[in-house]
Amino acid sequence: MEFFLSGSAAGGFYEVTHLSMFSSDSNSPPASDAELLHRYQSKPDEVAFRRLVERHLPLVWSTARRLVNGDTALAEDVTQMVFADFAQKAPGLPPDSIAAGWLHRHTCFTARKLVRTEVRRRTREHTAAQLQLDIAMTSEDDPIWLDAAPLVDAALNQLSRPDREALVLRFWQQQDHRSIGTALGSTEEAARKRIARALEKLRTLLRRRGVLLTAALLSQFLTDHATAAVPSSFAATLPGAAWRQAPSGGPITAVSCSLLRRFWPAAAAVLVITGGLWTAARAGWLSPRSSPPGFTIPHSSTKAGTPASPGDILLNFTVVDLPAKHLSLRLLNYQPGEDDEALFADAVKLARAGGSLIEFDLSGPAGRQVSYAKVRPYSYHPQWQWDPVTDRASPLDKEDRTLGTTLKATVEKQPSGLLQLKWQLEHSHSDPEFHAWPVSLEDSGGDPERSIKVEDFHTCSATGQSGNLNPEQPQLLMAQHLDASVLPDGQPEARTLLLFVTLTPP
Amino acid sequence: MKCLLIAGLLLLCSHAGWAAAEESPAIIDVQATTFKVTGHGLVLSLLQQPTMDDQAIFTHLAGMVQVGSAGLAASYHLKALSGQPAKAKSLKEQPFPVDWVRMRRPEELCPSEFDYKYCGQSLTAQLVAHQNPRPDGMPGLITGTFEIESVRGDELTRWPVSLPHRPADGGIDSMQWDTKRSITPFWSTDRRHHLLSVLQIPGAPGKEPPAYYFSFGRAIPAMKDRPRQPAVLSPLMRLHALTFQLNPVQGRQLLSSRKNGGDRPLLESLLKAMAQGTAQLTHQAMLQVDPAKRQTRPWSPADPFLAGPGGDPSAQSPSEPDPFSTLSTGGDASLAASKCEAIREFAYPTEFNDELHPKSFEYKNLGHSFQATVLESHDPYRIPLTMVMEHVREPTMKAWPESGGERIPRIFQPNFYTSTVSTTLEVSPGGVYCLGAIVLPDYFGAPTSRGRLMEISMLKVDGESGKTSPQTSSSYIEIQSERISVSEEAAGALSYLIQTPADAMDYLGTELESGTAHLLALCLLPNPEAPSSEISAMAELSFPNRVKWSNTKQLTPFDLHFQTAGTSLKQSEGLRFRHDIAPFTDRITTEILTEAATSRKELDREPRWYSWEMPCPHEGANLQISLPEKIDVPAGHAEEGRWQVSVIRRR
Repeated sequence: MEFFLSGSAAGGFYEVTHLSMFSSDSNSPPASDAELLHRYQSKPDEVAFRRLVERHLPLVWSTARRLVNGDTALAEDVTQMVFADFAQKAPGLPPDSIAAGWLHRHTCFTARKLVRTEVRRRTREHTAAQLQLDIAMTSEDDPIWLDAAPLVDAALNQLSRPDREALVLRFWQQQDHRSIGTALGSTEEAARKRIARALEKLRTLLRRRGVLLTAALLSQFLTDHATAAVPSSFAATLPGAAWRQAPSGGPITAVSCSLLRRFWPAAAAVLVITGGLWTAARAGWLSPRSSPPGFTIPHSSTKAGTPASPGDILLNFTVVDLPAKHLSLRLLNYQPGEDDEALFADAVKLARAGGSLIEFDLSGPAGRQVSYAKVRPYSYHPQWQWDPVTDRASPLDKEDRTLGTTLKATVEKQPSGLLQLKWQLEHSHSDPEFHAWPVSLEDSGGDPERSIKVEDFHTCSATGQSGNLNPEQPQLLMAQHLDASVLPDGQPEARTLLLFVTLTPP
Repeated sequence: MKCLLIAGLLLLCSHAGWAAAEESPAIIDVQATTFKVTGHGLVLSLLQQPTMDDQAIFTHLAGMVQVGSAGLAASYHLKALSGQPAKAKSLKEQPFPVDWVRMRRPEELCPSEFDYKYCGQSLTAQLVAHQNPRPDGMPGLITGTFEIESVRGDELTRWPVSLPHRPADGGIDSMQWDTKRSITPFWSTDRRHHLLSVLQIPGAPGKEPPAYYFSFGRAIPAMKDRPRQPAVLSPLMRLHALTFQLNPVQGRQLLSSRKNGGDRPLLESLLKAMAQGTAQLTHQAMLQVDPAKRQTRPWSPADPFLAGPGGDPSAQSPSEPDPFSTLSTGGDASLAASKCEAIREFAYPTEFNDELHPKSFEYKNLGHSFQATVLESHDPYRIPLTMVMEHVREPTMKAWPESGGERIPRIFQPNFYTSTVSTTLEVSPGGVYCLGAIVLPDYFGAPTSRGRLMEISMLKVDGESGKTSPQTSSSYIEIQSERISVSEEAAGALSYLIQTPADAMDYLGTELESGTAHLLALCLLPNPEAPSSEISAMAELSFPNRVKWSNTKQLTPFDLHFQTAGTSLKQSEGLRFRHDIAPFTDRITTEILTEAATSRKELDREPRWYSWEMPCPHEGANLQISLPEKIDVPAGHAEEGRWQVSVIRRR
């Protein structure tokens, strides 16, 4: 016997209005995802839909929570939207679809979209909250998982569909190998092997992003952290709310909008950065080795997101990192001022398809410098010593530096009334691919385990000035071609880095 | 109504100025691009068609990038305020070990300290948009400077290390960095791309063609709907520096056939020889200089050989103002000097521990550099230019002790080889000049199958055609100094012929062509009396000054020194021609080391060299031939039993 809860929104809060009971034959196994999906596709079967929502809620909620940097309220919004979409799109899904796979992928997409579009809208309405909010994962989380968590979902989405679905069923749905084999249309043993291979691929993708884990440790982390407990009140209200989004469901309510209105002010400014950085972490030069958890924001240099005064000018900076093949020829023939808007649109579109993108919103009055900084302390070991006891090299003293992104900008009003912008950008991160220096002098290199590993640091900085800023029209401030001399080791493809600004006058 | 609107619009434009209706002309869109292309083709086209449109070259190269036959090495877009620097950098801080400690195992050495080196790409542009410099009243001129730099550090050098009790030597990794840098002035009135510099990275002869890096700059006042303006030829001069390598006899013939009226025929002959495969273009660089920005006094780089043979190569010339400091006048920015270089920082060990493992490394810049500085002059058609071309070749490796038979510990040291041409000439757009010629010493660099080689350096000046003046005879002298090895019989004949120098020269020419005589040394230098004038091909040869017995009863060379030897003609307290032959007459063997270690004496490794003060031939005496003298070399030397004569010619 399974119980389902439904509720409705009232003044931004939910109350339980209905308790339903779904009876089934206690001797028969519970219906599979495929059966429930088939039932829902055949007719508007609320019970089947609710059961799917109930079953996959932990997967969607925990994925959403990771992607919005642990913000519970925003994770609820994302979850709500994902299931609302699921209610509408499920009837059209192919018969062999695995609900868990579709939901995970759609959660990633929805979370990023929500972060980007709504933050910009809200910021332009000058209602963004203090940037100093630094929402991080809970402190009891393992530091390695803190590094890996923001990257896991992006890496998972790079796997092939069967690999992705196998891992989602195993670690997000906590299914056994036999069930996974059945869901994938293969045997238990084949499912076991596929999961092992997929796990190894995921590990490799994470390693490229600077997260070094053994397969066993990754498996353990995914088992422990992939899904998190869903707040009971949210679990109670969601299925009914989502059902009402179904084509033939109950009356459509503005649940997601009300949730947004309820939680937005606190989260908006932080999401400008964290969402952007997470998107950037998908691939490319901008990828920080360790993403937002652990970042600190120097209080004195943070102006971004400060609620704008009526006289403030709003600057939206967009940094796009793309494979050079996309735009390099177009940039060679670039005509200043003529096609910035089209270039911006194409760059953003390409970044969403396979690059990365960061947005910064700064606001302030003309003539005053506004700045944004999101940096973190980083320790590295330039000095090593030989330990005669263990006969191995060990790091001696550590040195500290900061890594991250800083942007300073000043808008000045010219006597002619035109606005002129001075800006300075610096972005730095460490290279996940360490340099290994062999200790052995023999040409064979000796035992690779006895080598010393020291990391690279990458910095992109630029200074410039711009004028003739047309309101609401993006302008290209900088474009750079990055080749192997500055890209992380082993990244053969040259890239293009672009910086745009869009100005909104008071 | 329409008329009123148009009149109002015109009034507005005239009141606010052409550019100020919506936009400020003070912002400049800056674009810099570097293409990489292999092979000589495009450079030779550029040499033969000086009026080739830069924009057309840019478009051609962009097309090559599109089809994959050229690469995009760097590309920048920036906006900058007039008079303010615009900078873009993407850098990688790359770790490299600077110190090592011994480990328990003798075949292991632990890097104990890392330093970081900035690699990557950078652009610094400082440009000024002039308000109304054109006769048509259109604001369009932008002047300034571009500095483009690329540093790559993705290759390791494995330095050999002697491993006792092992069948072969091992190695220690050190980083090497390749830098390409150009600092050039800029001048533009249009929306076109302008060629700033061309740099050659030599390939492997017979295996890999050279690569050329073409850097372009473009600057446009940020004015939308700005009418396209006709291109105006830049007043900047474009300098092509070229070095050809060829057989000394062939080179001497080409030099002998020069006539007054310019060196264009010589350049054409060299290009023809290159096409025929008898000459090689070993260095090419192109730079722009601004004739309007002039340095008040000449500037010279550090002179590693100023201290003379056996001297300290780190000796520096007296400090002089750096011409690369930007000249600022009311926000204007330009350079008196331009420079481009493609160098590799080569690491080599300078200290060793008891196991003869390297303890620390130093870096030496290898590669090519070309620098030009404009000097003051009152003649608008003749621009005095000080030019410095330097080429530091790949080093060869030397092991100490040189031989031992047994696998005894050895240290490995590099020998460096540097060619330099430095002179001051008055040049005009359209002119072609010989910057110098030299025969490389036979111990210079890695041995080649082609025997001894001559290098001839040329300069071609392109520029505004309106200022081209017919090249007339130069106001400076040129000195060609030779030392020729002849047989004993030829020496006897020359002793008689020396009374009639023309006959002696004919005789020498015949002997050289028949192969019974050969050039030991040749230096040709225009304007040798100018300050810091020099042509040289010098080797820095390493050797240990002392050896000692180590704690492990190994002979350990230490107190490493570099000694310089080579051929040079330079202005240093009087004109001085120097030619060192056959340095290091004895090999350092284990026996010599043992004796030195036991007796605690320094090794006597002074090279044998010939050097003498050589006053310029006086007016009217344009040819001097010395009496033959026997070459003083130890037994077994290739020159044993031969004689030499020196010939000095003045033009």
